[in-house]
Amino acid sequence: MSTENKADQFKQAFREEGREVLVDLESALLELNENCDDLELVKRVFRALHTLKGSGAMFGFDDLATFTHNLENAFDEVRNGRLAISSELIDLTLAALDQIRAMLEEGIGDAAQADQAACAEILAKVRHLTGKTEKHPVKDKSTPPQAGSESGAGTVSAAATGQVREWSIHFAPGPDFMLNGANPFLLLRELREMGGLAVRASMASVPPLAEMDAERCYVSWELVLSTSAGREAIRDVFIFVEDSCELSIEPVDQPVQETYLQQAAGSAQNAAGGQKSVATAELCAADLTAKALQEKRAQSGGRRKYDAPDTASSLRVPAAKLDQFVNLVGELVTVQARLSEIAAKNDDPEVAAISEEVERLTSSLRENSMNIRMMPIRSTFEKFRRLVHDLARDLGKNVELTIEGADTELDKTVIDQLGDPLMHLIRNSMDHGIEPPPAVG
Amino acid sequence: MIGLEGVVDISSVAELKALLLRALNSGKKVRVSYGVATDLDVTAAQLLWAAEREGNKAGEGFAYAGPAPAALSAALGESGFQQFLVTGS
Repeated sequence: MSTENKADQFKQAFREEGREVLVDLESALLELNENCDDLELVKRVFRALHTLKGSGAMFGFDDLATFTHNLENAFDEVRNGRLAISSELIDLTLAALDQIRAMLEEGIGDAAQADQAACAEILAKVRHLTGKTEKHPVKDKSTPPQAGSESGAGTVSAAATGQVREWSIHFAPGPDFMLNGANPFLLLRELREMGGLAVRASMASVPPLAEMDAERCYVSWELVLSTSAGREAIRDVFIFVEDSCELSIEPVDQPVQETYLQQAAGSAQNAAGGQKSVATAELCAADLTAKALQEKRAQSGGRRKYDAPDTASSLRVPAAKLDQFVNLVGELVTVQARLSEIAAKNDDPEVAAISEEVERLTSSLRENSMNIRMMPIRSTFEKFRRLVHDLARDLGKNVELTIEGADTELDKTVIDQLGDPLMHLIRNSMDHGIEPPPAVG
Repeated sequence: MIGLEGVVDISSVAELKALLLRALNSGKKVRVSYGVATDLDVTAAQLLWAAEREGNKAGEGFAYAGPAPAALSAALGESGFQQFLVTGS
């Protein structure tokens, strides 16, 4: 598979994950609308936006990342108690979510494109609410930040008022990391936005040139991040690549040795100033750390996280493949029925026994294949929350949606076909069955 | 002389590796010019580092013809490569 195809595949994976994040984001926003003081919901919204921004930038969805970054800033303000949740902010974020969804689907078939004018209007209103100017997470490549800068952009989490602490991060991309379209430099850039970052690349695993697979990443990084963000927020930066890299994030108990930070900053200054630095064969601190980790890995059988056996309890299968599988099972059932018929006409006990066995297995296979297609109806019901919210606002009516039996499982095809009729029922109920609140005075 | 141009990334590193190997096997000092390179990804950076290591070990030597453009140098430094890539002649 070509590099381009792999990158497209990775983009597609991000789209799929992104859609799930958007569903969770929408749900959290609507819950937040009902429970404005719930800080956990605010954090959930912030994390979803942060994930979309970071991973979007990493996989080339730059417009999406920039747009989302401004919203993330607004919820950072909320998170830190500097901005109150309002129905205006919720509505703006919901409208923004629709644009993000369009950005996510851009380039696929005849999917609708994001409305640039609407995006600009949303951002202007959000900035008006926060009283902040526009910010861009994806920096212009022609003007990268000062090398080795320890102050970082300080745009998001580092600006938080929480206690700043230092984290030691070991990050070793796996063999297919680059082929999957990921870029470690963008991850480092995103970490730098969280606070002060000291970066050391370790070349300890780079083999002789002739033996190198040019498209594989052999470099690993030892990082010290000074930030008020917690472990989970740092881990979020790696959310889409965590399975294809070795990652450890540990708090630094002792203050980071100044010499280490100074060394990193000093070396970077040399690089930025164009002075000649010595390409040294000496092992730097990062190499020593990498070496120690290699020894540790060797002791534990040399297994890295991405080499570990796949223990995932579920996996994602395209619906088309599932449909094809069910169709094939259907054809098998037909053939099995013919076999049973022929076996019944013949008095051969051996054929009859085989026919019965095939019938039993086919029946079991059919039952299993139908079960695979069974899905809880929750996902369809949850979509109506947004519909009810928007319609209630537009109609000026007070409507509360209560969902019961969301865990009921139905065949996927049935669920797909239930969506539209249910939506019409709800629309009609709200239009004609619910009175607006009585006018005051 | 190997000149780097524009964005040198995973899509062109196979070609860069072949050029570096040919230069190292020529028995002459390897010279690399950042020229008008605007960006290097990690696959390109590690190739250059490995070539420099081998060029210096073989005794023929390895040198950069000039400093990297400031933006590129800063970006590499920011990614932790400052101590590995020679940025001046």
